[in-house]
Amino acid sequence: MIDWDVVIGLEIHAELLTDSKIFCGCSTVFGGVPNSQVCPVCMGLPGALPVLNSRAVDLAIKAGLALKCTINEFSKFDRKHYFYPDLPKAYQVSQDDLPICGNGVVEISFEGSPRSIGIERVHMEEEAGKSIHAGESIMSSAYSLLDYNRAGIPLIEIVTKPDIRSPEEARLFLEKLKTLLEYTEVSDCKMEEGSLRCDANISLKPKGTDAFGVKAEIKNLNSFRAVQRALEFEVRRQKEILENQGTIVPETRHWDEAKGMTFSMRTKVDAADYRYMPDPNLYPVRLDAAKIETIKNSLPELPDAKCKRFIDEYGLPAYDGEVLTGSRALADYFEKCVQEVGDAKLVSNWVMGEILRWLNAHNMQIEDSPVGPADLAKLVKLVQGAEVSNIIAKDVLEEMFVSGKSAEQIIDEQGLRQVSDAGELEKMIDKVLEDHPDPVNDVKSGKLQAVGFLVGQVMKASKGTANPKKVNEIIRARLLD
Amino acid sequence: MQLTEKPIHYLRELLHSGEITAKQLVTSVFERIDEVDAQVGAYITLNKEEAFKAAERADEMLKQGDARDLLGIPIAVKDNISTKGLRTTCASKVLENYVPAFDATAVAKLKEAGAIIIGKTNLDEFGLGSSTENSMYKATRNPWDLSRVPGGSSGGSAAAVAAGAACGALGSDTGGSVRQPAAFCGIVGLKPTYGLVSRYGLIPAAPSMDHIGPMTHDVRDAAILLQTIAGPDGQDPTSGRMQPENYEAALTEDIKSLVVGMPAELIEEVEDAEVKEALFGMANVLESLGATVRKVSLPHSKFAVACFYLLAACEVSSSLASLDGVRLGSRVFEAEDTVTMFSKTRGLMGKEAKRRILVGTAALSGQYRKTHYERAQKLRTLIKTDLAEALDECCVLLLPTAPSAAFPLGHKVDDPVAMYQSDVFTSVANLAGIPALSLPCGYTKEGLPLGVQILGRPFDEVSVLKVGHAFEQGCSMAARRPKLEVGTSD
Amino acid sequence: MKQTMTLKDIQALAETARIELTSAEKAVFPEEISVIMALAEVFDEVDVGSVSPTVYPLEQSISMRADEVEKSLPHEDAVANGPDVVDGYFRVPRIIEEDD
Repeated sequence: MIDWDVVIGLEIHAELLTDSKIFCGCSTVFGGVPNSQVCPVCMGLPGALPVLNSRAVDLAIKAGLALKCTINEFSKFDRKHYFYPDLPKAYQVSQDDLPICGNGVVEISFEGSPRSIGIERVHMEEEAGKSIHAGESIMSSAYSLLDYNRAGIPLIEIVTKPDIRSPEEARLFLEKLKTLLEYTEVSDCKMEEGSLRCDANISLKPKGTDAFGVKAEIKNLNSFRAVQRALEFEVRRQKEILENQGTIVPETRHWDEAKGMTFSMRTKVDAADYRYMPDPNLYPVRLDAAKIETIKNSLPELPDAKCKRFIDEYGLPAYDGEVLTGSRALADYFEKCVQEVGDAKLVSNWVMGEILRWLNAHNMQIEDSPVGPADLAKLVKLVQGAEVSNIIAKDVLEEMFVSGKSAEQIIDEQGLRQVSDAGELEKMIDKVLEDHPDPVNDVKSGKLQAVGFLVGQVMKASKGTANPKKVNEIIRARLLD
Repeated sequence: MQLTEKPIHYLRELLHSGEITAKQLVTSVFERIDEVDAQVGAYITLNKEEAFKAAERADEMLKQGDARDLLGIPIAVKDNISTKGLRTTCASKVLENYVPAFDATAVAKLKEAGAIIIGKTNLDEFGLGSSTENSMYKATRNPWDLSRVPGGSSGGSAAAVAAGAACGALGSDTGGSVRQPAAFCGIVGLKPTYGLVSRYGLIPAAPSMDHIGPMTHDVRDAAILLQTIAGPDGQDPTSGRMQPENYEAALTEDIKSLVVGMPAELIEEVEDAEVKEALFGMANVLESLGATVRKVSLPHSKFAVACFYLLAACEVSSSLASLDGVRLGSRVFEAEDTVTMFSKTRGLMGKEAKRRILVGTAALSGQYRKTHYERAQKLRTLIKTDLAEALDECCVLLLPTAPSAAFPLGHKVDDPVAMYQSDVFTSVANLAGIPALSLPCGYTKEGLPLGVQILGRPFDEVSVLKVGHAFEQGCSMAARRPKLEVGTSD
Repeated sequence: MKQTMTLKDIQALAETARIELTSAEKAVFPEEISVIMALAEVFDEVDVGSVSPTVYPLEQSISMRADEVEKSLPHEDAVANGPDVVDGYFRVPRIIEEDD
């Protein structure tokens, strides 16, 4: 039995967060009436000409900087020719030999150790339109319908080096990449709306050898989980072929999520000849160092740096740092709350515990949380000030999520404020001691564990609002002095 | 001379002074079209109804003293330049029913200046050709001799102006398509500097060489049209950044001590004695006006036709790919899948368009990419450099516009390479993007017009027009008109 | 570097360019296109090894627009020229190839 090295490279397409398309002023908003966000330019009507969106360039540079790429001061646009009904000009404006960014790296941590995944290049291109098929699949439909609203949305394509060594590492890389693109507000990375897409190349080679094996390209990967599952399937498939003296054919394979398998789409006889040609309508993009520097200075704190700062500045455990910097919105949420509350670990516990649990259960993102950081801060401060017990506070938070009311309001309405007033507590304790003579005697005779029972009874009687610490003190004082 | 055969600057005065109305002028033009166009075949689509409405508006404005340059002037537009609401076919069956939703910037500027668009003129399909015989609708005939071609690809515009069926026209020029038909039809045609006139709305053949240019009776008219359509345009990313000058005003200056270059290698290529004679005749006139005429060398000019043709074909194969029958134009419905639909629909194109698409497809791919596309791109650099150096020494260069006068219909249709040689003197200006003006410089014994080109430095239209104007004043070429025998069929 | 185009070559090009040829065109194109491709032979006379290619007649740097949304075409105008429009979509017959 030979051991195999798995070699994976990814190609990721991310839609850039611009308001208008890459070469015209049509809106990029998702979900418009078909063919209502189109104009002569993005429909490829003859005679219309492309005018480059400067923000698309800035965002591509931002992405490059976040991926630690070299930003090329000279890059150009090329036409990539192929006929397809969703491609209005029958060529896609892309960047061939001189892309805007090259040679970067993304750091991930895999099974506790750091790994560097190389980035080959980042280039700009335009999105195609959308085709809707009448039947179940493209091939079985007698006709298809074309909507060009998406045509011309700016994209970057990120191509990794073949540095990824396992399907799980591929998923971790994608999660990190998504974090970086979201932090820099380059892309909203919504896989469900197609604003982030991924194709994977995978091959196997005998462990320790240098020559790459024949690779398969996998398409139709609609989630990070799908990327990992499809690659896991592909590792098994290729291993089985190779271990039975078979040969891998270079081909494009389609991931079928329901069946959990990849299927051959077409065999690549020759590399497709796209007849690349510099686009004569688009002069080269020349960037000066000052411009790149300005964009560099506008970059927000990136996740690795932020995580380190959370650990150093707030004294958080590394795990908390990684989770809380998993998205810029989550980190911002956390920090806003800490500003009010002060105790970072207390806030971290609330955010990573109750807040994320509720959002996950409701399939929501932190950005959409009905309880904002200021709302949470108020609640946590009430806990800090012993105005409400920790346990009741969790119920209050649940109610805040559902009703949208403030913590104060819920506590007041439901009488949940913690009772610490000695006089009030004495009254409740009197009643409990009177009702439970046996445990009282137990305590008096030195069986101190019965104190807990009595405190519990007071808590029950107060519906949880009694300050348990105070109750404990009073009972002990009363029975043991 | 017919009213409609008069230059624009003359008609402008009549309109502004109220001696004629726009309605009268437009009526005369349509009458003239009725008289001659059955024979000449200059137009694909007429815009009669809109033109009369525009004439009424123009007359209103003229009455109120509006004095914009082209107010009430009937202009024809080549049918590969988009006109909003007016069918734009490129003389192709593929675009037979295409009605653009937008005006080309040049057309919008014409309208803004008060011009009246009277119709869309015939061309070689998509502008690919030198005789207008590649139109998928009809051939256009030369008003000077109906058995001859008007040149191409802007043959319809040239013939319309020459025949008095338009007062001026827009053409497009990718390798000589404004200048060569202007020469064949005895009018003035200008290919401006690349980027001076917006290409927005010009249906592309080869975008790095395509230009829109004026076609007129004389140099002053060309200057007037140019200053109307020139200028930066946010919708054309290759548009130049400088504001156009007042070209008409610049025509008054003299050309004393201006240096005129005669490119030796290209002029040696001239075989036709009458062409040569007319060219040197013009050089003599310029000298007599005080210019200095000298020889210059363009050592790589012999590669220009091959370089131009191959690069243009590559760009054509790319530009025309969008005509796939999905979003606009014709479609062949007898197809069960998209690949067949694309092929059959695009199969409606004519032979020359197909030939160039196939050549371009070949030259961009596989084994030919290096030997054809990439080497041609490098030759283009050398040709550009040659011209830049020559224009460093000289203010303008003189070249014939075409190797001969207009040739008979059908003469070269079966020999594409011979047809491409028609572009030998014109294509250098497209490769380098420099301005080039063709104007009449003589007539053959048979009475056919001959043209000469004045090439200038980038964005120095002023010198080019000035030299042309000075020559025109020094002889009487601009006054000649063809004698069309009206009403006889051929 | 004499290259001759066979009918098979021409048909392959026509397939790439998605363009149906008539039988008359098939009869003459191999010869005609061979002659045209041979135009490049003249380039052998000059060494272009160190020459940089020209793409643009007058090269500038790209001019860009600000990221501002402008009015799109009215939907009716956008589909007005479509040869086969259904429910506001452009309809095409069966797609038999995969997208890229």
